[in-house]
Amino acid sequence: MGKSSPLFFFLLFVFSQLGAQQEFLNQPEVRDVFENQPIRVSIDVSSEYEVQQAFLYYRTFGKVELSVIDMQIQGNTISAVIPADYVLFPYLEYYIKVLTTKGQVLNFPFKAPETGNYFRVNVKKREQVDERIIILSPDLTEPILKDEFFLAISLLKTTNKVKKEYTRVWINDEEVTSLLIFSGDLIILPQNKYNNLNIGSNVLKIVLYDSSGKPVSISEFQFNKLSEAPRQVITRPKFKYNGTVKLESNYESMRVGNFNFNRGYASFESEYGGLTSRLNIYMTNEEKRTLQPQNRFLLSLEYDFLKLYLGDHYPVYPSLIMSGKRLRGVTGKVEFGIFNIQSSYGEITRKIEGELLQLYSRDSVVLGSNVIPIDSSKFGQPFARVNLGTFQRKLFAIRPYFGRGENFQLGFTYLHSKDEPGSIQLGARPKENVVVGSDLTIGIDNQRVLFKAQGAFSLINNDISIGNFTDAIIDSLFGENKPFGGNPTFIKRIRDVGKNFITINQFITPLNPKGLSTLAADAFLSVNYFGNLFKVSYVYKGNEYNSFGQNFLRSDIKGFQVLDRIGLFENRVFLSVSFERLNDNLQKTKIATTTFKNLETSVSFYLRKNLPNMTFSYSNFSVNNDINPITTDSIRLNYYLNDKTHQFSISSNYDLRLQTLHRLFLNIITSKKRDYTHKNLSAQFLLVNFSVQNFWTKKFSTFAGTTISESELSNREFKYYSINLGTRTSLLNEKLKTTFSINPYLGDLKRTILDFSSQYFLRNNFSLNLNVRYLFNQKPIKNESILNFFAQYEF
Amino acid sequence: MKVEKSIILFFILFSFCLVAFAPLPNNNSNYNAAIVLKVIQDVKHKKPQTSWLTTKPSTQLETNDQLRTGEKSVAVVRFVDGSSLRVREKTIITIFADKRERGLIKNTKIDVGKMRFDVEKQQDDDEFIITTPTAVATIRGTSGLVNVLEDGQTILTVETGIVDVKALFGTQQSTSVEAGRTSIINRDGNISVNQANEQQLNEVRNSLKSNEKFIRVITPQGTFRVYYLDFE
Repeated sequence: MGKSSPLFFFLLFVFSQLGAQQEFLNQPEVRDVFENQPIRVSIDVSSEYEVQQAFLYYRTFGKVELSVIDMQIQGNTISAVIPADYVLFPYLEYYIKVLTTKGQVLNFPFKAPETGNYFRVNVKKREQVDERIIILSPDLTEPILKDEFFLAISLLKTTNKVKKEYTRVWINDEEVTSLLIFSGDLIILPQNKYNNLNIGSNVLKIVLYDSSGKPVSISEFQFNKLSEAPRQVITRPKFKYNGTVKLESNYESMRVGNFNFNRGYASFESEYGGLTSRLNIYMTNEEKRTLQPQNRFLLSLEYDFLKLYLGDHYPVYPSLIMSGKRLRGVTGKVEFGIFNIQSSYGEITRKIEGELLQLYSRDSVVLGSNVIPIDSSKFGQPFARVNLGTFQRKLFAIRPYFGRGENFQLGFTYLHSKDEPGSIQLGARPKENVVVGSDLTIGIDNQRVLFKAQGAFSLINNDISIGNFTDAIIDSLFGENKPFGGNPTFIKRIRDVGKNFITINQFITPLNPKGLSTLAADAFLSVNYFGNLFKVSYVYKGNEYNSFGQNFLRSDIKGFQVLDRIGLFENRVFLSVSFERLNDNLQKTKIATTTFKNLETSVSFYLRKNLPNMTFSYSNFSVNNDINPITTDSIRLNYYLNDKTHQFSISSNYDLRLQTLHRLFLNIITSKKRDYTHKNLSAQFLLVNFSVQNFWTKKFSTFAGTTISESELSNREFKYYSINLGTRTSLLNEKLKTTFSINPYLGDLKRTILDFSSQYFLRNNFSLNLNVRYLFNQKPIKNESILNFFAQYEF
Repeated sequence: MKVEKSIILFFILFSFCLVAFAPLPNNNSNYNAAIVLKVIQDVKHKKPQTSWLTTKPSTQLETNDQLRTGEKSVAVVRFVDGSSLRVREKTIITIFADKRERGLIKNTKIDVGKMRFDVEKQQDDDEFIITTPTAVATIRGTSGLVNVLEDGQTILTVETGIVDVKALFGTQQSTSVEAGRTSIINRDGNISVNQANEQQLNEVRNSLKSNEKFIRVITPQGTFRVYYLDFE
């Protein structure tokens, strides 16, 4: 047994690793990402896991602190959008954390929080040059019919800096450069060459490059497409509509069982006069009363300065107060320019009744956080041990603000959120939260000088079930020779005023606001002149700051960041340096104060078109606290932190033109975390990605890639290698599009994935789609398969 | 002798430098100056050395290319600077373009017929010229209709902006035509400018329309579609 135990744990570890790698069915798609453009992240979780909540943790260059977004859950597909403001050159890193209904925690990439091996997205630089692109066709002001579409772009008015034949074009995130004809100042995508337009709104993205291959301008345009029928509609400007209906069925045979689920999605958009309305409905048979809503709907109405959202949506307020939180309710916005106001009301948590586990009489009751008093007339006994339910939580927020925000904006926000104590029977400690805050934006010289600041103060009551303080309780707690001293009359006055906003009792935080424990504030000043961006920022978040509209802010932290980025040699070389220093324990509530230091540097080369673009970066993170490592106090020693992480990366991409276009990507990241404490949480990893896409013809392309991943956490190694080979073809006059790929994994993770997807257009607006994935697992794990079929109709 | 050799060598080098560093001539004959956006019914185009070809949307037009419309036909042409021409029925035009460092000179010759112009703001080296058998019009902005009759007489109605007109014959009079006014230039070189009447203004407005509609006629013999332009 003495020998078999380590072996057993080793095998358990290996199998747990294998299992962990199969929790996610795909990797987030990596596309060209440019500065200040939002990134949409989407990943599929294996259906053997029931997703309860999912979070996207991300950090921009130079920041230690991770920002968090509550991800949208649609069945087992989770998605989120990283806001444009956070997408900064030269890269952005993120990981995804999924909480399942069974209490499991899944991370992508595997063990990312512990190893620091985040998923990295390289962000391309763009210069602040306004190149004038003229869209000759389609007409951006009028909708087009499906057969009429062709693209004609004129670069007549661009500067000499632009290398016109290097221009790349995307339609709705699909690159169409290989279909283009370049002719002097004209770039044309001929009629009937591209058939994937959306009915309704389509986005055209054009990226211009200079002769070194460096992007100099990114422009986006929108145009609308109508379906076939309304030739008359085009001349009838009063009512326009379009929509999409998608029906999907999935069957998954996984090692832990078989699953099937069906989903339906419908979107409808119409315009009448100046009124634009959108309706989105998502229905699935995965909807359960024990989960937060899976079925989602949203109706939005926009008319000139008025906006109204009804249903499941994500209202945006200053980030300290509300951001990335789903609200089922209503948000209205009135924007006059000088004066504007936004308000939201609805439910952020649906009630979920608890589960009764054991009844107790008054005599036999035991202590426990999940032992609660219950209605004895209903349950027969006065106490019970339960799986605690979730109260319905409602939220109200309002923000009047002055100015549009280009040069000036001043806003004031009030948020109130409260659990409904009567919404469930088996629950405990309903809470209530009030946050007030203000925000200021000042932009000078087209925001080349930009100052932004926000501050917020929160109050939270962690148990409102007992209601407000009664006069008797105040008299017993406050006054001379009473536990809290003070003047009971004054406390009663505070209660009488304060109870209009929040329940006032002993569970309110902060009891003493002088320590600023529920204050949060941040500010930055950036100056951007002569190709040099200098930014300095400061953050303060008290240890008890809490907003129900923004649950995932890291509290108990303060510090500053300085960032400088400069373009050299006519912007062929970019240097970025950032230093950040943060520390916690602001209210001296912890055993020790921890200091986080982060130095990040990067240099990017955009030398010539016939040389690859390259970015080298080096980061140094250190974490340590003020505990003496030679202390004899074993409790303090247990809290001792002292680690350093060195991270080095190289990324490069290159468009090789040998008869046809071959697009090459290389990414190497190596990281070593040295833990100097007795816990030995040292970790290191090496990740190498190399891929090539070959565009042989317009209808046939191939791709190949390899990944080497070697990680070690607390002296336990995990290594795997994978190869990915595939083809994309377009057949039957582009009515049939198929993709096939094979992806074997070797090393500690042994499996082979076969992917096949096919899209067939019965009509231009009606397609049938089949996606098949087959996983050959290492025995004894059985092979797995996933079948997804959906039909999509656009009108 | 040595001096002569040096002089010859100098001239050879000088000539080489002249050739090597002289700016390459702009080969404007292959410059795609415009593109056909829309075609209704019978529209054809030709190059100087080719016969008439059927025009389709996205057809590119180079300098010296001609375009003609048949009966009940319309073509919408857009220049690379965004300016556009709506060539109405039974019209023949010829496109000339000269690419400059900081712009494009566009000259459209209209032999006969009607053509609406919508001109983008002209900057730097940009110029937008319309040449008829009797006049040259320099469009300073921004929209209007030019109508060349069979006898070469030119009727120019300006909807917005201002157009400078110069007669090609006689005393080669010139004048400016402002918005809401119509100018008639005859074969003798006389120019008259008057307030545009309601019919002329309607014609300019209607020239903007280039949508094709149809009426579906269901008969025992089959279903027919009768196409018409939206202003008719």
